[in-house]
Amino acid sequence: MSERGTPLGSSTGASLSARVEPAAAAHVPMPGDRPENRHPSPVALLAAEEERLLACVHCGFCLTACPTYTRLGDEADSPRGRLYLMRAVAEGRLEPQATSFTTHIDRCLGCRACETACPSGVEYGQLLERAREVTAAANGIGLPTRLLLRVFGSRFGTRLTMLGGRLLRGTGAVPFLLRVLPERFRVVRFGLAMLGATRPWRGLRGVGGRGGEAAVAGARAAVDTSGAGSAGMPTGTGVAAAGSISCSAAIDLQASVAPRVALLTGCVQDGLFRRVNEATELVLRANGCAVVRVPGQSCCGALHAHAGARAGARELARRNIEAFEAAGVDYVVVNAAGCGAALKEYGALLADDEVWAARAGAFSARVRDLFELLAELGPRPGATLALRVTYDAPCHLHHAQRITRAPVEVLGLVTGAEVVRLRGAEECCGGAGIYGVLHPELGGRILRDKVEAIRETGADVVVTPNPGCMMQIGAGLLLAGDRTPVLHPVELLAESYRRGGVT
Amino acid sequence: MTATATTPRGAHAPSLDPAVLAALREVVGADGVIVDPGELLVYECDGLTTHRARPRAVVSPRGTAEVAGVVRVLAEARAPFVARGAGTGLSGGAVALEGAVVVSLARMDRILELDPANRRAVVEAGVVNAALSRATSSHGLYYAPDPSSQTACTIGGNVAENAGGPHCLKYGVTSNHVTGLVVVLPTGEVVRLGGGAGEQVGYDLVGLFVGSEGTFGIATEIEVRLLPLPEGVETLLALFDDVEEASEAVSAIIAAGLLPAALELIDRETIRAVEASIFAAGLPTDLGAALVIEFDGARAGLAADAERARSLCLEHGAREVRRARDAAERERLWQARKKSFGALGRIAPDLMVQDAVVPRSRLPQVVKATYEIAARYGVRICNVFHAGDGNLHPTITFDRRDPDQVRRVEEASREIMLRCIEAGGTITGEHGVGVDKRKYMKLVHDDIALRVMRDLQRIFDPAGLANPGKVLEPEGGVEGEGGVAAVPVELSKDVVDYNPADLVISVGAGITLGELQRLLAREGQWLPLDPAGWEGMTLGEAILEAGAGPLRQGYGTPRDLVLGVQLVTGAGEVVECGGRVMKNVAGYDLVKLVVGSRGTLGVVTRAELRLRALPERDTTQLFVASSPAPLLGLARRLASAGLEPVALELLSPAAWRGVARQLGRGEEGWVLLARWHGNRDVVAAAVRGARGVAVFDDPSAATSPWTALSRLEGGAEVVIRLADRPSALAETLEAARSLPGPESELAIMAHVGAGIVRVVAPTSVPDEVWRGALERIGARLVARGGSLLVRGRNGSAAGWPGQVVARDPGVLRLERAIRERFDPAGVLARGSRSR
Repeated sequence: MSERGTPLGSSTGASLSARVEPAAAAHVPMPGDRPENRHPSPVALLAAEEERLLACVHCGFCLTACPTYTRLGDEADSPRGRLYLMRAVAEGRLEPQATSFTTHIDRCLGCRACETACPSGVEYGQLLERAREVTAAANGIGLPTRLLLRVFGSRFGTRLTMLGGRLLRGTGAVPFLLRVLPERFRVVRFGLAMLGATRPWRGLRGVGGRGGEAAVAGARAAVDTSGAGSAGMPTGTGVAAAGSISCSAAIDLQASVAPRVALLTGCVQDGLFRRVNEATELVLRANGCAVVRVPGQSCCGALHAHAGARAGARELARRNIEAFEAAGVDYVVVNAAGCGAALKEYGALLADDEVWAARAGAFSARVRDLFELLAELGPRPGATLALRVTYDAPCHLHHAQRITRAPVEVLGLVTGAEVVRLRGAEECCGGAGIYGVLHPELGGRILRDKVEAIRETGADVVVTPNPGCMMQIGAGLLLAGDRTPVLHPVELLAESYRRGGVT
Repeated sequence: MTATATTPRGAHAPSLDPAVLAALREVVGADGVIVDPGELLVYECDGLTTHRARPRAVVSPRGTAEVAGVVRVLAEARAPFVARGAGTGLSGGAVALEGAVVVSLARMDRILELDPANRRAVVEAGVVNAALSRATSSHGLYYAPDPSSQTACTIGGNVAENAGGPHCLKYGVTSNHVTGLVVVLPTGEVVRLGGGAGEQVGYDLVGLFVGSEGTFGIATEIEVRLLPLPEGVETLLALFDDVEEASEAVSAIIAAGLLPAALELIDRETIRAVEASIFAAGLPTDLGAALVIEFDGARAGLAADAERARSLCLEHGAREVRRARDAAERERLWQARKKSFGALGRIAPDLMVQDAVVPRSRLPQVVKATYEIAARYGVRICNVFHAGDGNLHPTITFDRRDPDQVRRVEEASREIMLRCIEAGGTITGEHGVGVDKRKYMKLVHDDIALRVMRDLQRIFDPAGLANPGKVLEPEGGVEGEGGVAAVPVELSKDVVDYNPADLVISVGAGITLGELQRLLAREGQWLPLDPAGWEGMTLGEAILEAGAGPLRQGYGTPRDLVLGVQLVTGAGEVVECGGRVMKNVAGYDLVKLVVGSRGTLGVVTRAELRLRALPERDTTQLFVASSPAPLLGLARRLASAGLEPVALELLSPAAWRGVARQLGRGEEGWVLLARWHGNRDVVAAAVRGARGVAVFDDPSAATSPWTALSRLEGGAEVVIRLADRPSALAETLEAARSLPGPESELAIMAHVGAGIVRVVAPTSVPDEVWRGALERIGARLVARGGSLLVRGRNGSAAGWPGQVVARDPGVLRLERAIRERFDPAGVLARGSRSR
């Protein structure tokens, strides 16, 4: 129990179900939020996750996988420690308002590297979302996050904000502003740098090739799998590593119909990286897919779920399920790792919803990460790109979706680019939503390590299949005075196909 | 969910005085002290959740100086403390009993020194085990002890528990890989233990400290030995219908002289649990047992060993033996074993993992007993074993919310433990005693041994602040006189117990090494120890002098070979130290204290030794040159080849003449002798790689250069030993060559890999020239961290300076206190030898 002040609205020793409801102002009404979505007690919900919580045997293998533990050296900032705190709250040994709980839950990046390291298969991501609901109910959601949720919760809000971003980017003022704005405007500078990082790489067209013919043999030799099997680090287990070329769910292209797929266009992706979506459609078509547009889709809801606004996340999920069902596609393809993970977990998100649970499960089963799908299909080779590339694994692709090899293998097979191993590729870049704003020092430290590792590779470009990471890493490089461009790997694939005349 | 139970230790200690907290913040900064009760929650237990106690504070220092500062503050406040690394221990060693303050070493994660040329590194206590091996891999080196928690556990924690791991059958445990420590004593004083170059001077306090579970102080910096990464690896997975057959196959493999790097067994229940979990590895669930066998080392010899193991498994009823063809397949073969713990964790909310050790030959019967006991108590049990060294982990799955289940689990555990002890085993092989097994110490130690341990703990920690409540029960129960024995003059030569299948012998210390080797050879085994003059040297003397010869290169020194001793102290106490199993962390490592104690603590009357099978091939090559330089270069090359020599000796012309004379050979010049052990293939490949002048194949022959060398050195009246880092051997040789007297007469011998140079003193009494030279050379060696020792046969070194070596005054004080405890009346002569 915290010694600091009196916990709001609760009484010692009260049973979980009788816990007094915290102040109503802490609950953030979301668009389309129905009354039955408001569960009376987030703590009770956390306690109901007994089975998930008990899976943790306290072995501690997760400690060294956690970016916050390795930086801070405090057990409470480790996954094991956070789980322990969650259990303490669920069991009534600790108040949900206690700073000893909220601080460490807030500080978690949500990267889920701990899930990869865990020998018992603890579903930390799911538990974190519940814990965030608890902290949101206990202390409210902070202003910056609330604003963000407002924006991304509405299509209009998203479009408006993204337009603003594009306009600012288009003025070309960003580099100038970065030069003149003093260091102490840290957050603004970082925001501008992130925006600056969304600019396309003009040098892509000028990259050399090899005679324009599709040369793949050499590429295979140069492919260096990223992340998997680094010395001493246990890799993901159990859940079949979707994305390896020998995936059992492979589609036979020779057989009848070309797969019908729809793309989740996303918020930031569509708003600031439209070229990535265009490249994705090109690549999908080049590999024999029929691409269908789905105009009624919305934000994936990941930000809401991670912030503890699960009701809002569920609303967005229902919208998406409805929209994509109507399109009648074989697969919902996602080119943003964070969104892909969210969509694949709609089944869990709506597990308690009698009406939607089955539909959500069926929907999630159809979701594929772009590279996962390409690996299943067996991608067509394109023209060779003479590039030294290094790959950074987005947390929500590597750890949450367990897709560890497909992106690099596909990249190598299609473009023949030389892939240089990035030290710590599977560690978070510190992006994690608006982590950098909420935890500037820690986020900055994590980003600095990432930038250092990238510079060690001497690569021409960095690729990472997630817009948040692209902006985070791009900003880090920019502010460090490094001009290495950051791309979505699909951009290289599209370029390779364009040159190879495969469209 | 019910509220979890804490383990209260009497009355709660009052909160820390604000002045104390302020003083602590002064040392480590405000962000280094945690006192909020909510924040302290996560520190109430380590990897073992059945014992919990909230600390009064958690302090996170950076560096030795801050640790010392913290301990000084706590010592002044008489506040107990407990050091914590990653908190992955399984005996409750990091639990803060008596309101102890947790001193977290998690922020001390720097590798301070990496010295690939000498295969050593110095690390802060918070360095993660696997991170160390990762950092050294680019130099072709790694840190061998690999507990299953290696991706998270810290070297400091490994030192506290003397951690093991699947590879310790071949490579030993933490204690065999730690050569020096910087320790903050519970007073706040900082001492340096060990760390010298190669030679043991004074007591092996490093060996005593390792495994002391935080009750002697806090180790902040650790000097470790690194090994070269093996050239190749061969992995097999053998499937058996019956766990007894599998155990017998294990024994057969060891008896055949094979020494796998890992030999891991999982039983039917474990396989079923794995296959039913998300970690399913594709094993048939009607299997009785699965055995993972891994060989590593020089590539040339692996196929033969793997093939031999394979046929032995099939001979013993294996259904199938799979062999890995690449790294991916290797991962798959290990899958079931590596995921067993995780799979078991999913069966039930709680796990009781025991850490039992028995002589390997008793494994099958003990395993049967665990099933029988589990059935009787109605609990579910699975077995995972490090089969090679008899270390088994019976694991009971249960739900601690059911008090009846808890009771049955505890009773079943106790009975299993008793059964293991009955079979000649001990209570803990790798997890340590901590708080969890304190109550069982009486089952394996009598009152005298417990009293000795308590007294040692008091010498290091007079105020009783270091990790209270661990290892030993609190006061009471260890008083009472044991029998008092007279210090014996004649020592027994009797074989007390010898089961070749276990590769362990218990024998009277009066037996000579020559007699012992002959006895063992009849079973195709031997003790890989060859100090100068070993043939006529008694076992007791070899142990007390920590004598080691050329074979130290491949097999280590007596501290690596002695599992147990019976010691009769100067006070007449008969102390049973250690045991007869290879992995034993039940209490303080008294054996290490006795080895090399030179008779100042007592007389060794009996010893338990770790044996090896005689190698299939034992081949030595002779190389000659007119100066040492080319031979040193050659030695370096040979040492970094796939199969390392087990001995590499450099001899000066005078030394070689002394040897050659005995063999009837005529070569003249500097000589390098290189010796290899292994199977036919691997030795042949090694010998092919280096063409020598002559080859010796039969070590027992009268024409073996090793026997001749031993007789030469053993027969010398006075031997001067110069030791420094192996990378500085050329300089050490120069120093030896600069000793007085004509160089052509100086018999100089060097253990090339250890950096130790011995010179036979040509004069019986040193004159001023000699004294001056020894002082000068000694001073220079000491300035570089080395040593100069003078050893005489039968006390004939009187008149010579005994040693020139740097000694930490704190260490001298500890040694004096230890000596006084064992020999209060001073009846044991200084440096005396046992007959």
